[in-house]
Amino acid sequence: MADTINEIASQCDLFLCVECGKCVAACPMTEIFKDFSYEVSPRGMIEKTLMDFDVLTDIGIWFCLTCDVCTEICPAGVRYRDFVERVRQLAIQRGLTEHGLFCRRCGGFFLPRHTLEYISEQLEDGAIPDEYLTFCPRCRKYDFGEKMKEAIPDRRKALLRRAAKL
Amino acid sequence: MEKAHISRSQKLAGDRQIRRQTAGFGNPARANCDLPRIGVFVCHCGNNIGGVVRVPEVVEYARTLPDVAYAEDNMYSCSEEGLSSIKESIVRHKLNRVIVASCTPRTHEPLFKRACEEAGLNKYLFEFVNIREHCSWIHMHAPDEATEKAKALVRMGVAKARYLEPQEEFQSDVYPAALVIGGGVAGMTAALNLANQGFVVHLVEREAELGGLLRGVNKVFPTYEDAGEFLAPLIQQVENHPRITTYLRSEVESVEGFIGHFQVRVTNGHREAEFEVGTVIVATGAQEFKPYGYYGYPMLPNVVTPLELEEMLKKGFEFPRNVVMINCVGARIAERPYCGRFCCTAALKNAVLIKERDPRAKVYILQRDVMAYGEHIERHYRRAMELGVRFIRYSLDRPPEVVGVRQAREVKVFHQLIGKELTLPADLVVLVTPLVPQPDSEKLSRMLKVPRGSEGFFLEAHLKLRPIEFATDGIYLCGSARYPSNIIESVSQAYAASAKAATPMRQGFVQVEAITAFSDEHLCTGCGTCVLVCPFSAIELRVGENGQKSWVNATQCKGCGSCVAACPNGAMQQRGFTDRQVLSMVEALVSS
Ligand SMILES: Cc1cc2nc3c(=O)[nH]c(=O)nc-3n(C[C@H](O)[C@H](O)[C@H](O)COP(=O)(O)OP(=O)(O)OC[C@H]3O[C@@H](n4cnc5c(N)ncnc54)[C@H](O)[C@@H]3O)c2cc1C
Repeated sequence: MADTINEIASQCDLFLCVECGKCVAACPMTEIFKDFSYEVSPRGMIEKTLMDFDVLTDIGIWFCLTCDVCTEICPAGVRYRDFVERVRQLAIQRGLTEHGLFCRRCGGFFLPRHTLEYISEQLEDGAIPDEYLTFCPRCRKYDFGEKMKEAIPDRRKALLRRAAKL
Repeated sequence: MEKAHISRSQKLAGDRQIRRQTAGFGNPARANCDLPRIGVFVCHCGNNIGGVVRVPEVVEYARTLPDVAYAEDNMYSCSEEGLSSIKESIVRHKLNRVIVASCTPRTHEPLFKRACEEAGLNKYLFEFVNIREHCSWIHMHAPDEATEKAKALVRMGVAKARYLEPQEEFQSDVYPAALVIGGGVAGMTAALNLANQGFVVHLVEREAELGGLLRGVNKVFPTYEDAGEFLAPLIQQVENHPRITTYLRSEVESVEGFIGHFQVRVTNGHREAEFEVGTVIVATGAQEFKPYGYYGYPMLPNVVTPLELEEMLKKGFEFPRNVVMINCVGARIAERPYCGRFCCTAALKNAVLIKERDPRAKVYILQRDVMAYGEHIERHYRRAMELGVRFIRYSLDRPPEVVGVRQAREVKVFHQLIGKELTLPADLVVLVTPLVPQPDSEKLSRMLKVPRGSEGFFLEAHLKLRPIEFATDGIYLCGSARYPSNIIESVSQAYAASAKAATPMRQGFVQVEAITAFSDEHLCTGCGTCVLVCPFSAIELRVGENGQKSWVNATQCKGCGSCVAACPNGAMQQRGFTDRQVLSMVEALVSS
């Protein structure tokens, strides 16, 4: 198991980290999460990976917002966002799903629970229906389309169908 | 070859005589015996001086001073016109002392001195008064005071000039052979460079073989070539060079003399050799610090030093899986505050070699900063990281701990950022230690009368401006004898030191400015204070008819004046700065 993490780490150039901390300075998580710390920061997660900590079960991998600013700013060429995304996939494969949110419709992972909690906090109660937040972005679009279909009158639907056939 | 060289030096000697005859020291009768006739030339330096100091007023004032026969102002005294005016005035007004009050002696004194010589006046009858830097620049907003100060300085200059005496500079010849102490990469490079230029070189090496520390090294950064392959051609060239005599298993027993003529005695325990050289290069290198008492060294057999690791890698045996290197062992601590400079890079080099041999090996480098400086070396740092060498920073407050009874088994290290103690498996622990001075460097330092720094390495004359020579003329240094240096640095320093040593040998002589100190036998009590204070080891006590007296070797004296100030009896005087000259200036200053 550790070897797989090591492979991902190597492919995402984590070994090049020089511990400068620029990623932490640029990371939006610092602004967003009250419980943000070195432990869950890109730099901390990289260091723990390099020191062979079990990052798969570490809640730190569920913090990242995947904005990729860290990769942009890294002087050594570490790709932390890519690393986190792949480790999350690995964690899900291993059944470590407690920190993720999975789409109500397709079942795919789409957001860490942590991020959703933050979003919900920011929204006024009822501003967006809860069900909206339980779809992945693609299924959200699909769901929207389905609803629209229902809203269109039958006669226009028939017209549309005919037009499609032409 | 040999003959060609000697004939060249003879030719140089011939040139020298001609130079001496034409140098023209003026007419001593005119300079010495006649009453002083002083000429004062005050420079406007365009607006530089003239814009603040009222130059004509200063000239007018100079004319009123005793023994001033002539005074004038020049727009630029250093111009062709200004210089010829000075020369003409010397002749026309029979001047036997010249003062120029202008910019700075740093750049311009030699120019005016030459003008004096060209007009037949000994150049030591010239006195410089600095009214640009001491008056117009620093008192830019106070023209009245600046003008008064300029007058006072001119008054002092005149007072001193009355007591100036002509001096004769002398030359001392330099024997075209060099002694190189230490046959490491630095010493060998310096020896070859000198020998290839035609000089005779005596290379003294304590060990049975040439090569120094590198003999024990496996592969060398930044090229990863074999140290042995790198050394072999160098050693061969040295051994086969017709002008290099190598003394193996030998040490220098004594060195006496000064630049141009050092008498050297070398011994190998059975036989002695004696020879003369003109210059000496110190290339004695350094030694690896053996970390007794640190991290279980030497009790735990799998805790080793970098040289021991190099030896293991050289032998190429089955290499262990888990290697932990601890950097800065015995370096950058209170008792040894310096950085070993290349040890980080050497550790990186070996980490890369181990990882390349077995990618599954785990290599940890516990560091307190990775000093992998230089463009080539940054690449190796990256390479080590790419290969998965892990770096962990530790602090002296909580140093790592090597765990194991008969063998080191693991290393515990506190990870400062994660805030946890990590336990690293360890089949081999490398204590990365710095180089330390040779144990006998003090003896050599006393023999050559050259200083060592607080860390025990040899100390150059000036860190930035004279980095590869000692304050004492004719003695140079290079390589790790000065401070831990890698090959690139050692070789460049060796070229620099040998080029420096070649200069006086090529010239064939050294010219000594006549501002040296001399001792009055009648006043000297032989107390030896001057010997102690002289930074250039130019003074010694000699026993003569009248007992023990101090004696200044003018070739080595730099005219710093320390001995003059220190002499309790006023026996020491310095040419151009005698008590009488300096006190007359003080008198002139206080009696306005
Ligand atoms: C473990 C290790 C690995 C290294 N790896 C590298 C590397 O990969 N790349 C690199 O560039 N550099 C490396 N170095 C540094 C390299 O060894 C030095 O740059 C080089 O040895 C300096 O040469 P030197 O001639 O100044 O000194 P030295 O090699 O120390 O030679 C000095 C010589 O003088 C002799 N000597 C000393 N005192 C006297 C005396 N009183 N009389 C006569 N002879 C005397 C000594 O016996 C010795 O032969 C390494 C060093 C170590 C310790």
